[in-house]
Amino acid sequence: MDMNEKKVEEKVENAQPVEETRPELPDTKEGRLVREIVEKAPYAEGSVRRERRVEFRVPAERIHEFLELASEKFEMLMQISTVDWLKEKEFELVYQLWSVSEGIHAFVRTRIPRDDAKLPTVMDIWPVAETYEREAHEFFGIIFEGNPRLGPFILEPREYEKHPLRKDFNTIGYVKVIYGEDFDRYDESKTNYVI
Amino acid sequence: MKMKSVEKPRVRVVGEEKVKLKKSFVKPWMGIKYLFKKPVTIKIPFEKIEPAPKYRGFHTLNWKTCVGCNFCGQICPARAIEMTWIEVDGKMEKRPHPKVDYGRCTFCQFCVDVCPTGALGFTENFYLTTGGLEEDLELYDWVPIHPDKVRELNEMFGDYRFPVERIEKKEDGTHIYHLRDGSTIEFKILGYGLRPPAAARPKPAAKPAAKPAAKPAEKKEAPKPEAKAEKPAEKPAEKKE
Amino acid sequence: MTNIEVPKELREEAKQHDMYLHPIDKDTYELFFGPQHMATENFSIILKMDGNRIERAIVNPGFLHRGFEKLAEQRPYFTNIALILRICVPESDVPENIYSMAVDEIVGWEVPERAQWIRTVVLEMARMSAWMFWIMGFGNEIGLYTAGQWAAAYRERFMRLFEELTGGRVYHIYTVPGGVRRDIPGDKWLRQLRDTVEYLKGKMKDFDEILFDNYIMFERTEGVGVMDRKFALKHAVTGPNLRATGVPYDVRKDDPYLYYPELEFEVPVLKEGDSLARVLVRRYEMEQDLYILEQLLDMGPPSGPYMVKDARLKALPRFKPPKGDAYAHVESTKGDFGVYVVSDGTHKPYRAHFRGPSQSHGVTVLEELLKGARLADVPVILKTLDNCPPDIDR
Repeated sequence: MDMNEKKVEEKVENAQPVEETRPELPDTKEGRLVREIVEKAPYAEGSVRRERRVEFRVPAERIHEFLELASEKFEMLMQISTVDWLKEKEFELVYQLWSVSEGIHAFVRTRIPRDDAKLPTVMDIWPVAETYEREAHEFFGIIFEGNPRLGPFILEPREYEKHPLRKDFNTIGYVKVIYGEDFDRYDESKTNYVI
Repeated sequence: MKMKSVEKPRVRVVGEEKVKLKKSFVKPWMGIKYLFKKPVTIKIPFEKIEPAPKYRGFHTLNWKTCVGCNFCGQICPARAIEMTWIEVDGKMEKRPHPKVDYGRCTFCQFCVDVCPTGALGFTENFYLTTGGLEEDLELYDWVPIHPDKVRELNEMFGDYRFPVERIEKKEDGTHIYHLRDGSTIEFKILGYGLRPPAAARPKPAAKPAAKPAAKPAEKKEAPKPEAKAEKPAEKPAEKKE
Repeated sequence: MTNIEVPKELREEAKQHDMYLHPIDKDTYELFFGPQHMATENFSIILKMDGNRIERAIVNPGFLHRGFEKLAEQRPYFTNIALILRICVPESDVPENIYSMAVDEIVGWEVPERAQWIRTVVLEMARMSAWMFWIMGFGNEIGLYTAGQWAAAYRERFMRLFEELTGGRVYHIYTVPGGVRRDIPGDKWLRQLRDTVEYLKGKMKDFDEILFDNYIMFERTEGVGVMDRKFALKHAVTGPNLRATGVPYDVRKDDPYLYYPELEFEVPVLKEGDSLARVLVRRYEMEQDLYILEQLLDMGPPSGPYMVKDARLKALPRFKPPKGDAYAHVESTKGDFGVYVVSDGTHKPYRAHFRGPSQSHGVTVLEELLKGARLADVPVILKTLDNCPPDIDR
């Protein structure tokens, strides 16, 4: 695991000089902002997606450091979106940031392994992260170290730790358990039970 | 802020000088003038409002043009549509027809949008009320009838209620719709699903027999691979629980 | 099994903050505010009271959790429109529109001009009817029921217009990826819309008289629930709530979409950050929305199709966008409403994650603002924040 992470880091750093010479960072406000941040944080990979949308890829162990840096430019944390990539056995966390002063939206992506889903909390940077992290914890089972309020939030206590938004959660099985067999509806070929 | 105002001079930021108001004791009393105005409410027994011309209400179905492609069943967000094999006057319809369950229907009318032949349509009829009786509830699970018939009934009554008054069901799957004007529509439900039932047997027996039966040529390919793909994923997970 | 074991100490800590295990000593008591209270709409707050003062508030959402995001992963792209718009009841067009905009971006569709115009009108109408809904709630909470009743009646006018345009009254299911589902029903509808805008412009003065200039309203809201600019930014408060603290952030201005770059309007900003400022900002925005609708009607709908032409749309249930992801957001009356859609190339979205404005101002912010407030101020704070619990639960 460690080896891999190091490799990733090396790769990122190797990719860095290429990044700067790339014509992809245009001389717009987005390009300038990305360049500025990537210069300060060479472990991150930055790109401009379109007007007012920029993207950063950050290794998970330095996410807190990066977000602290980014928070100077991006005042608001709009959302922490989690995507469960079942095949790659990874969770992708997308921190959606918005810069009020520049008018730019940033996706800060990081990937963590599914079976050891731990991240440092960013509550100390943006207190609102508490809510988003509670949600991600409840629906995906990601542990944000340092967030004191992880626990049953939206779901009922009996549903806690079932992590329903994971791709391997058996929705139909759960519905059957809760609502019984009178919840009968099959798909058009009459073979599969559907929700 | 300057940069933005150069980019979009049309949008201005205004401060307190325009936004703030002064509190007043006297002004709220001006509302009294409304005592002498006509009320905006609709006085129900004496007045009524018509639904908008293309209000999304109950479905209609032209049984002749329905090709049984199941696009409606696939797009339905609430899975309210079930394909039904029907026998009219002792002759089985060549294609299945959608059966709409209004207990589930969200009236989004996506099924009408995707219908390739325009067989499925909708009317403005919107009254969906029942007593709690089981047969009342079963009324709202029907194979929609021809649009002309519904329109005729609307002209006759003009109150936008459900066109069927009572559904009579017999042992052998015969359904008789008693319409509001006293006429009846009689047909027999042979089975459900995309595959045709093997014979005119009641539904549960028809299912296993239907599998090896020759499949009709049309839109069968679309749902099948997905069904296969979902199956193995679900089964082991269930065992775990 | 891939289930993660939550460490024991974390679980213990979580339990401490759990609602029912909260210790109560003899001077304080616990009060369950909601979910049946009018102001909370559909969530509850557990208030730890010391006499009439709130010592601590714990927001307890989840009464409206319907699992939209999970369900959206199991349904085709177009079908989801009928589902996700239920996230926000008073302005159901907002989830529709952001979802459509995100899918448009993934597919790379350039939505026809006419469809963009219609979408803008629909969004503004949704904003107007949501303002009416808000006046209804707010008027009731501070005891000025008359304004609430009027607003309910005026909202009906917009519902009627929606009914004629879309075929539905509350849930319109109208905007779809690639355009809109129906064309404008004709010039008569545009005339009706203009009449309604004119009518409401006249009524705004009456609202001012009875509600916004009212001494009672000022007394109830002034200095209640104050937040400052820095606090609001750190808590990602958006919309009128943020503008009331002095930050001129409006999605329509800073990240313009649809027809907004061509429209002229004013963004009201106040510095106080209390409930009164929030109310006044909202009042001003209402006027601006009517003004925007007027401008749109003056422009008139551009000619052309109202839906993109694409061969893939022939088989709608099996429509597959390419791989990719997109974030789209619009300015709703409550704030910045966004969605993050991920496509993996199949006919169902891989993930659709919504960002309701109340997610930020309905949980941590509310808990902070309620600290030290009086019980009677709870509805006022709730309503001036314009909290919408379904945003949190989804």
